[in-house]
Amino acid sequence: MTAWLSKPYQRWGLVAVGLAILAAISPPIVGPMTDRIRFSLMPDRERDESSGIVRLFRSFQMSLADACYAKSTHYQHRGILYQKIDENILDEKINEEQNRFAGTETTTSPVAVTLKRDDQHEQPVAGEEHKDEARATDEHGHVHRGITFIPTAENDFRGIIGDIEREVKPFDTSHVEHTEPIEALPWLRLATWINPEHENAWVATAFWLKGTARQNPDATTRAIALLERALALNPPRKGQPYEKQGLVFMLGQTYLFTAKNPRRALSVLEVAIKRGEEDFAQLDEVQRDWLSYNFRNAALACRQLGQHEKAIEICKRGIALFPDDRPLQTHLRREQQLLKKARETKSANSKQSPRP
Amino acid sequence: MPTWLVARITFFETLRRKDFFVLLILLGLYTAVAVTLLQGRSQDESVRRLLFSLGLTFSFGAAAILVVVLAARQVPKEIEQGTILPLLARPLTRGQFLLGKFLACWVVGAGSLLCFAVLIRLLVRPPAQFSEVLFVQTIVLQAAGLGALAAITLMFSLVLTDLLNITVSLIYYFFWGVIFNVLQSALHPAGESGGSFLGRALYVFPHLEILNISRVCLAESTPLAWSLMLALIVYAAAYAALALVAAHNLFEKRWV
Repeated sequence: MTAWLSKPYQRWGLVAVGLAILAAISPPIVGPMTDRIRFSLMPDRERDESSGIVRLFRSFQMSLADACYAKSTHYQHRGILYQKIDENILDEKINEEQNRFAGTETTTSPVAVTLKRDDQHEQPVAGEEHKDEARATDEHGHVHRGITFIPTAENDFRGIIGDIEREVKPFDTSHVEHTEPIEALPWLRLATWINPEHENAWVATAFWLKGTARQNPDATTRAIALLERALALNPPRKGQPYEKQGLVFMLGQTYLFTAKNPRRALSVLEVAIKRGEEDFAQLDEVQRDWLSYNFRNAALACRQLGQHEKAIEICKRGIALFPDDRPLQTHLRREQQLLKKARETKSANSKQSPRP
Repeated sequence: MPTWLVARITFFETLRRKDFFVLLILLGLYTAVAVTLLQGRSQDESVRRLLFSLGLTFSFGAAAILVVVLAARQVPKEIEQGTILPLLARPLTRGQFLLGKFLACWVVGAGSLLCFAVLIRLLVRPPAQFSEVLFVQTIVLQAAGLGALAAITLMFSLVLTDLLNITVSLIYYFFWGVIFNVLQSALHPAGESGGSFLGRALYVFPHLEILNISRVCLAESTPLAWSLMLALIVYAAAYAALALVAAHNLFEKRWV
């Protein structure tokens, strides 16, 4: 053996043959082990628990995605920083769209609920709030009340330093025109790339993207593709509640009102509301709000398809979970009226038509 | 016999190096952090799990860095200082010299790993559903991985400069798993047959990351099958052996 390997070329040959054999037999050994220890960008509650480094990385990952998302909201106010609770106009826009299409009264979108819940500890001390309030009217004539991060001159103890900051940084308390943050789409997309579980970032990206339909004819298709991808990246996990009702809402809403495809919207929404009913006890306030929106949109999709009985059934299921949801009750009454009318029309038609 | 002598001399030499003391300081630092965090929270499962996992990651990382730094400097330092000439003037072949250096680096890495593992095990109460056998398997596999790493670094030290070798070896050790996945996903759309051929070719490079099963150790309670364990050890040993043969070939041609 030693004599056989005495020449360098023989040893190089041994190395080459050895590597070839190892490359051939490695996949069955490496593959299963890699699957067991694989690190994915997608957070996974159960697997992440097994690694301290991954847990630390997850915290960093989520904070970074939140920072990107927060950055996108600055664009809405042309760079003026507001306290977070008043900062995001996405919830108002979602409400506007809901009300415009559904014809219901004003509601509070889950985005706003999320922000409120996150920022409860950041609320200003009572009595100070009015001092830093900025009233602003956006391009659509809506008035926004915001509390700026940089305080007003009357309320700033820093004196000249505060004056300098107000001069060099975007600051205004009288009138700030809000803009739809199209320029911020890369920030939002970055947030979804960093943390594919960031539901608000996906929702905001799709919402603002489909808002560009006038300039870009592909906007709706791209928004739908984006949301389909978001749903594919966030599939329901066994043994865990499905906490991506917001994604389903935005996809359903886009199919229903923008792409005018109620059949597809219903197919998406039906699965989510069924899952929502099963997981209802484990859902938080935000997810429950999104779920109630999904019930409303599912009922509307049924109405557009002329399936009034199904719409009534969905409304009843929704009201069983949300007894105080007035839009759903309105939908139920309306569907009952439409069903009655449809039946009357049908019976009248059958009476009028001559028998063969 | 000359191999053991070289290994013994190198081992004692490394114990006097500052790298080893840095490792001892880090060991003390981890102990201090763990003891501080565990104060009054020793019953908290998530804290224990975090400390245990961080300890394992830290010890595996530190041992790998130590092995790479030691192995990368062995041969170039001997050549640079001229001490290799009296060594090779003795009845000592170049192969024995390399093998001795490799053994010393491996023993130092495995020893530091063992010290860390014992310390972690004594300091932090393991989380629920913890398997002692799996823990031992984790340490053994990591030690096997360190052996392969030492051999590969030693081989690189004959063609690369110290710093470049350390950088390349560490990047390879810590990131090859990620790079491999990226390359595989990039090759996938290139066509079924071409993609699979190139994908297969990438398996030529050793996957040392599969020998770090600290995640499995904390996530599962069933030990690895002994057949799998054996296969993984043979896998690491085969790469170590091939790297040493290649190193021997390179060293034989080298002018000292």
